[in-house]
Amino acid sequence: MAATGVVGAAVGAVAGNYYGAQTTLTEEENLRVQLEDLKKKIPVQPENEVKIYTWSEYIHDYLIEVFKMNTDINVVYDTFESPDEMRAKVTTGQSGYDVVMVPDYMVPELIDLGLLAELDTVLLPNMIHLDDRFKNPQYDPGIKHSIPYLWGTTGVGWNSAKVTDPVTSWADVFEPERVKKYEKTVTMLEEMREPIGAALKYLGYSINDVDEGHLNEAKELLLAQKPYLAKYTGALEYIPGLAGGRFMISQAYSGDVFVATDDNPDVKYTIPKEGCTVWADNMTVLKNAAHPVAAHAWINYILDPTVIAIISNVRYYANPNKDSFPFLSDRMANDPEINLPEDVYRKLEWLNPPTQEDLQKYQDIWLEVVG
Amino acid sequence: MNDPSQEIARRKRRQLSPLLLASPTVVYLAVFFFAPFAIVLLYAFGMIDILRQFRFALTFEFYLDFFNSVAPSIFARSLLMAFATTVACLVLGYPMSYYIAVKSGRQKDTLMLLVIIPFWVSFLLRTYALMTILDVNGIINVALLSLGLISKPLNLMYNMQAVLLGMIYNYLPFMILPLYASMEKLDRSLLEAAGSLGAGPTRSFLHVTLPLTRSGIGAGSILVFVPAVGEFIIPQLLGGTESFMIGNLIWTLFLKTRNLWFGSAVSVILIALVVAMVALYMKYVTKGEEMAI
Amino acid sequence: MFEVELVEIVKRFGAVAAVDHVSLGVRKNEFYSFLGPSGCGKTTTLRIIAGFEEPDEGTLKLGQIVANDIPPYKRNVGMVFQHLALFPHMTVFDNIAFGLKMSNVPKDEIRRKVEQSLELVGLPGFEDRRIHQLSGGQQQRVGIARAMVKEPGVLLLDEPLGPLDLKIRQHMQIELKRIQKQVGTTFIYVTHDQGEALTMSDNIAVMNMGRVEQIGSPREIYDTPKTQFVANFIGETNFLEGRLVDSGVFECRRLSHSVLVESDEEHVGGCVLSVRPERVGISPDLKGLDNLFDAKVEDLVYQGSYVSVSVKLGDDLTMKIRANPAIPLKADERIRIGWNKADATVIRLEKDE
Repeated sequence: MAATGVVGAAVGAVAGNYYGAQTTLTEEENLRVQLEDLKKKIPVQPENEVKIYTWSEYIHDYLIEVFKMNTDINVVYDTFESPDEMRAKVTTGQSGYDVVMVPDYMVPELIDLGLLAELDTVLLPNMIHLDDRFKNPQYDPGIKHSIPYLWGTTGVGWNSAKVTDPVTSWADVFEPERVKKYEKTVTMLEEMREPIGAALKYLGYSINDVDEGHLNEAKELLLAQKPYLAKYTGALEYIPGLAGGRFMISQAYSGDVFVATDDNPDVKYTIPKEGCTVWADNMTVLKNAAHPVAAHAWINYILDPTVIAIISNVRYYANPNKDSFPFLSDRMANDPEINLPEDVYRKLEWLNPPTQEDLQKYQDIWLEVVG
Repeated sequence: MNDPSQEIARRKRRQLSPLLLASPTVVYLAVFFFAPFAIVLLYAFGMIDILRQFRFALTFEFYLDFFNSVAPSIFARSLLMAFATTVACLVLGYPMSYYIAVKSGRQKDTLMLLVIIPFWVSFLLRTYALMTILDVNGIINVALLSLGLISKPLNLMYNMQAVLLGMIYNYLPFMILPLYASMEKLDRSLLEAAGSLGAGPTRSFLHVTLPLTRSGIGAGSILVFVPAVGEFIIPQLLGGTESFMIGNLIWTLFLKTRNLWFGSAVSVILIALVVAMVALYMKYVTKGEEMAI
Repeated sequence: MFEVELVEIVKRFGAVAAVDHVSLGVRKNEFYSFLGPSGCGKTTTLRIIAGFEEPDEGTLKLGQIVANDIPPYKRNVGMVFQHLALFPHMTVFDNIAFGLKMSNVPKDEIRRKVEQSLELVGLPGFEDRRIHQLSGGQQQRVGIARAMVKEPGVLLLDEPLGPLDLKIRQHMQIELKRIQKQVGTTFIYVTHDQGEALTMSDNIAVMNMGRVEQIGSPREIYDTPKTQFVANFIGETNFLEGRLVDSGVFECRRLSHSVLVESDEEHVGGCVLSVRPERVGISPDLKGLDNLFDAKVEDLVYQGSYVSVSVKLGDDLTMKIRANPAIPLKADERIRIGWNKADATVIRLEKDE
């Protein structure tokens, strides 16, 4: 019986690893070709190590290997599960990392704390590939301290086979007649700003609106919606939930929905017509990085269109690199986020980092909603 | 010869040595238990005002705010759930413990092993396993559907019943073990004596077994109730929108909204409440407990 | 008419018969003892009467009713347990009142009866004490009071005086006998202490290995044991192996001449003659004794009220006798001993010996 267990575990491990890679045969071929080109392009660097701190499951391991092979720079790749975890480490000032992945709303704070270095654009020639829309975000004007890595939106994932009227608007989760049909199979995110933001958007306000009256309206909307919800949850639950048919409609992050689509092609992603949150994860270099040059080399490597295309293809998130589009897989090319029409793009909003009072307001509302 | 000052020094040294022996534990407790607890207490009774400065504020308005917020109803919900869990575990666990306790040696060991084996699996995994059973595609629904007893899968999760089930499932062994311990100690001849005096099985149980297993009931109840009040993983995984508990509240306050002061206050109130309830319970349960060895 | 009757009761534990075809009858108001070494089945038999064990074969009758299937709480039988089994979580009062409560006796009557029973066992005023506050002897009395307050027809006692020290035990024996006589309840008493059984009982059933060896009054058991086991178990005795050659004549190879005995069976065959040490006289007080023999003093052990003397008859027969400490005896002294034929018992040898 023990032998079976060991064999089972081994099979599971191999399958899991393969699952993580998740590319089709032809894509694999593509990858190989692209990677061969890459090898020729990267120059050799003087520093011999770079320490990276980023989200887990955020890259294809192969790419790390290629970088190591061609630059002779050793890559130490550490991961975190939540930005709070990362923030806690980085704010000690002694994390020892060179490159740190920071979500958009946290960039201003870290800049204020003097933790982020100003980037040396000379070492980042590949910046020219970036889409103009991402070159001057409000959280880091002129992207002096951060380079966008992958971005996404927080819209709605839904099961097109079971949900008969296609989801197009936030009304589809807030209108009682609509939600009632799918009672107990609808979820909203447990990150309080997202459901509150969605409610505000539906009411026609900005997601960063802190007007008391508007917030109260949002609260009432959420309270009215609450009885029909299954629960407030996160990716760990709604990805298998959508794929498995447990959830029909879920407020979700775009990349996550594509992961679910892998398992269940009926799952679709929609950016509601009223707009929603847009967010980006950004590569930054710490001011006290031990290997700043290697750090820039790594960032430049990522800015290569083929590299970031591979990452998008395997992680299902859109990237801000306009020259990567030809290299995207079919699935990614069909992502509504890619080739976003201008009018929809205008409706997307970055989340502002809240002040202490705003946070208190959000908290009060959120506690009333969930409590 | 017997220099008095030397004698005193020697006596002092002797008194010191047990202290020295205990010092590693004392240090450990001081650093990892008392210090953080003191910090929480500090936060609970303080506030950060607009100038981002810390000041003490056992303010009346703060506690007024507390009682006007959702916190009391969340407290009530958690206490009710913990209470229901304890009662359910007692009702289910008592017969199970009794059944095991009256068995002969070998069977007893096997049965107790069966009770303990689930503990070898992580608590989180066990709760997830429960989810796969209750899911719309889970075993129960699949079975009922294939037997034709239902036409549409039942929504067994994301409600209070699922949470209660998860709580009972996880906490039952905590009730069984102390109950079993007290039943094991029970002198069988007492039951025979009761029988010889005219007490049938029911009355023997009520007048002999039940009072003498009181310590087991007490210990088991506390072992279930106290952690159950603060439970947040089970409500988070199995519960729906109506299952927001104290544990979830504290978690949200500390990690999501980063309101350490409200969070600490809630924690301290929770601890105070639980300590008070346990103290009362212990007094009631252990009155007249000098005997029974 | 028996109060309690056992007919061919068999109880097996696994392959072993703990109670092996036991039949006996206990009369009303009798003080009846089951006497035997540990493992002889006396406690099991008692528990069968109480209802805690079910017999595999045979019939148990309580009064006129066959009681094999009646559960213990429905039998009118009280029991005092070996380790008392007093309820530790109750006061003395509640312990004693328990049985009455089970019979739904009204409160004031309970109070009256409990006080009465405490008087009976000599513990007035002990109502509110807790069990662990009592001494061994006091606990015993509470156990008895508890069992007797319901006035059961039969009271079963399972070696109740075992854990007590000698003086208290002797005192309790007298107390028990007094209580039994006073109330008039039938007592069935289990013990391994033959002195106890002889002191207190009207009738004794001597048991060994699941079987009843002999039933009789204390005197009968002592003076006329029917088996070697009984003779050996009760008191001290000397066994002389030999043959009954004629009615009244016993021959032992090791004795110089034949012995005059009283026996009502006329059978030729192997027997054992049981002669109790205290029945043997020593010279010069041998007047009128039927049997006289020469003996040599071998060993003397002072026992307080007598001296236990080992004497040798002939070449290889040793007997133990008792001498008055006042008589001067020395080792190697030649004396004469003797006994009356009525003071010795002929015991037929068991077939398998």
